[in-house]
Amino acid sequence: MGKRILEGIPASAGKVTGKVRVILEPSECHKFKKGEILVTEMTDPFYAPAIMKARALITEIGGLLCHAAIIAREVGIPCLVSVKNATKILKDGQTITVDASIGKISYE
Amino acid sequence: MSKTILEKINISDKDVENWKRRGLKITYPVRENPNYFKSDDGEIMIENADKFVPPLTKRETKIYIENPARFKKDLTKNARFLRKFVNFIYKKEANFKKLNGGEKVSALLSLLYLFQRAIDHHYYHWDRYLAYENYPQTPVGFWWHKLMTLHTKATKEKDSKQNPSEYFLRLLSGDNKILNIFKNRLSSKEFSELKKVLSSIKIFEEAQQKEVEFLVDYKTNENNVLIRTGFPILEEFWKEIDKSQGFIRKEYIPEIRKLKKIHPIICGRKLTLPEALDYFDNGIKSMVRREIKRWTR
Repeated sequence: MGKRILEGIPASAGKVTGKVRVILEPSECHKFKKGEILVTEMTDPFYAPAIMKARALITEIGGLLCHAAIIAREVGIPCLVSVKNATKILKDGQTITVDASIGKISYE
Repeated sequence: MSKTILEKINISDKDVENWKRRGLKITYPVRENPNYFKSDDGEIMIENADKFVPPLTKRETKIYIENPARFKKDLTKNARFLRKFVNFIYKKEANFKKLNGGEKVSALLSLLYLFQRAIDHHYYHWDRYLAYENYPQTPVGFWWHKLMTLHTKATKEKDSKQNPSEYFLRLLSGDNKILNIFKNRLSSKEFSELKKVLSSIKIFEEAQQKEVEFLVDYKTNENNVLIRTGFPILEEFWKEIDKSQGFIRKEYIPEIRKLKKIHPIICGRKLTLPEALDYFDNGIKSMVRREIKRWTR
């Protein structure tokens, strides 16, 4: 199977490859391991423990001034926002490449 | 004179006056703002997009463009106030159980009305403007537009809302290397303007972060204060409605069924629009109207 692509709005620059961890509730943040890519609907301060360990951040909702975008720029990790259905399409453990310079996520 | 429906659950006239004096704005009916800003996809805020918006006035907009720090101060002040008011409702909520059937529905509808209007005032008057970077006629959009212009001038890249360049993102992050590049490409006047623009945008970013902190409930560490208050009102409301169809006028039963199926945040707003009050029997309608009058006179 060829590479598949998801698109979003780049909110913090950078390109990384890593494993997905979908977090739908802040209470699930303890599952998050250092270096994983956080995929969620949107973030608030409760997601901070996961964001600090994340290699990249992907959210389904938001623009360049949403909470996730601001924090990602602060901690210097790539971030894509407005990635429709990301939490449904991407699965835990899946390896993806986030290229926030062009707004694309590629995966097998 | 007999007690209003929320007086029966211990919300006194003194409470009402106290909240109004502190700045609570409850309006009736909700008015449509024909000039609300629409995003390209028509959905400014995915859950709350609708036409009922108490917008910033022209005077406020002018003040906040000139002074973003004032916007941050006023927004965070109102977020703190909203939190206190919603907590007040949360504490009174359980008292509805001591009422009888029709009174329960009236009390829950009245609480929902107060909850919804307080949130609307905050979100539509303050919060929504933080996401208006693409509208130069708003405070955040004014500064965002300046940033785009200076960015284009320095990089010769065309600005794109959907695909902002790496330069642009690094500039937003305050990356010193990028700032130095811009320094070499802009005149000193333009560069000092750029620094002012970036610091203004930073203030809007801080406002957004502060607001989230106020409205997330660190004490319970479970849900934010809005969710733990609003959703149970709606849940209890539907439980009461299901107990007796007599609360709803026959011709509106299909409408009520439709409302029950939609997202609770949208349902909450639709249920509190003036026309929705007509769905209910006259007793409920008059109890709710009398209660709202207490908050709006």
